[in-house]
Amino acid sequence: MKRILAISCLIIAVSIAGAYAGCGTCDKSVVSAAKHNDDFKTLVAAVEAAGLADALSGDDQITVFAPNNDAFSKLPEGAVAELLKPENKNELIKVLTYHVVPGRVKAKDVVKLTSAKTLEGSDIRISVDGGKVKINNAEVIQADIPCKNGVIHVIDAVLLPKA
Amino acid sequence: MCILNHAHTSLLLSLCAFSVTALADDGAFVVRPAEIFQHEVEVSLEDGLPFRSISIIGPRLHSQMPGCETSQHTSYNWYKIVGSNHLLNAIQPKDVTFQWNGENFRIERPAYLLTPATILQQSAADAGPDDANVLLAFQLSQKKSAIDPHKPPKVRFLCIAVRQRHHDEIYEISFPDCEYLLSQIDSQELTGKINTVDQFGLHRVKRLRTAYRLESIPQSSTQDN
Repeated sequence: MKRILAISCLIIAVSIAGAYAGCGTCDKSVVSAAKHNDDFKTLVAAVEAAGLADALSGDDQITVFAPNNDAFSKLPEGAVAELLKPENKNELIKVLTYHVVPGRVKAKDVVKLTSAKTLEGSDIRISVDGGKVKINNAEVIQADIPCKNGVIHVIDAVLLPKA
Repeated sequence: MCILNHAHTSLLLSLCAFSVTALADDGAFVVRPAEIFQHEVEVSLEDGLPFRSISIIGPRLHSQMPGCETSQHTSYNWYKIVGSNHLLNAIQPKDVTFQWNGENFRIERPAYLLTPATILQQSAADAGPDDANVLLAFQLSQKKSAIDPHKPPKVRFLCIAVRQRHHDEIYEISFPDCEYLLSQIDSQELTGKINTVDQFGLHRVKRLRTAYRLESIPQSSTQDN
């Protein structure tokens, strides 16, 4: 009986390993995956300052258009530091949730859309321009980083919701 | 697909007298990706058969394929399948002989995974049909070479529809009888870049040279064993 149980466990383990073979971020939440990537240091700092880490690590599937460090460096000097101040937490939450769309939307489906409603409440524009996928005016430079609770698409500029 | 056992070869030769649909505008060309993508996926040759894991790297080639039961073409990114022969040899159709224009071939190991791709045009995405098959390109080895003074293009790959699993997504076979042959051609240098999106994400590739001529196998002239 023990042998049958052990073999069953082994088969299940091999099946699971097979289904997720070759993926380094599949078992991580989008926040955890970002923490393991140095390109997202500024984004992770912002998510933590906004207190959104837990909310973006739940079971609900989400799609994150994640600005990398270079994207944040394109903002006016001092803008990031200003956003990270505790008194600007609500503004920071608004900016960050404008980068998140409910559901798991892979790149092959993103390009079929013209807009998407964000967690912030307003829409982002999606377009193909010059052979590039654009979210508002930001370019998607890497797509489909798979995570346990969604998918990350890397963008080269920070998206700013209308005031 | 025209699969023949030796004993039936002569009997079925006439049934399998394929008429080649040469598609001059279709073909596979070699590309160089800006970023190399490497991953593992699982494939199954038909419903009911277990999935087998394969490692892929690429894209190495890109092609336009005529649609199955539709006039819409499908763009494909080709990923080289890497790994041990021992494992890959286990991924084979039930019948491993193949006949084309009176010549016998043996279906060898799978060489490429072909996944439908959306081409990012200047101002729009050209997605192609939603239900396009994922394909495996199997190497063909010639069993009996016919003497042909005209030296026709060398048949190199047979593309067959497969089921494919990528994490929790399964791509089913929409058109099981939709198959293609690829013949090697004299390569010509190509220029330009293509941006595509496929199930593995965003890919920017540089076109390098033509590689294979593509021929579809007409449905009406296929005959299962």
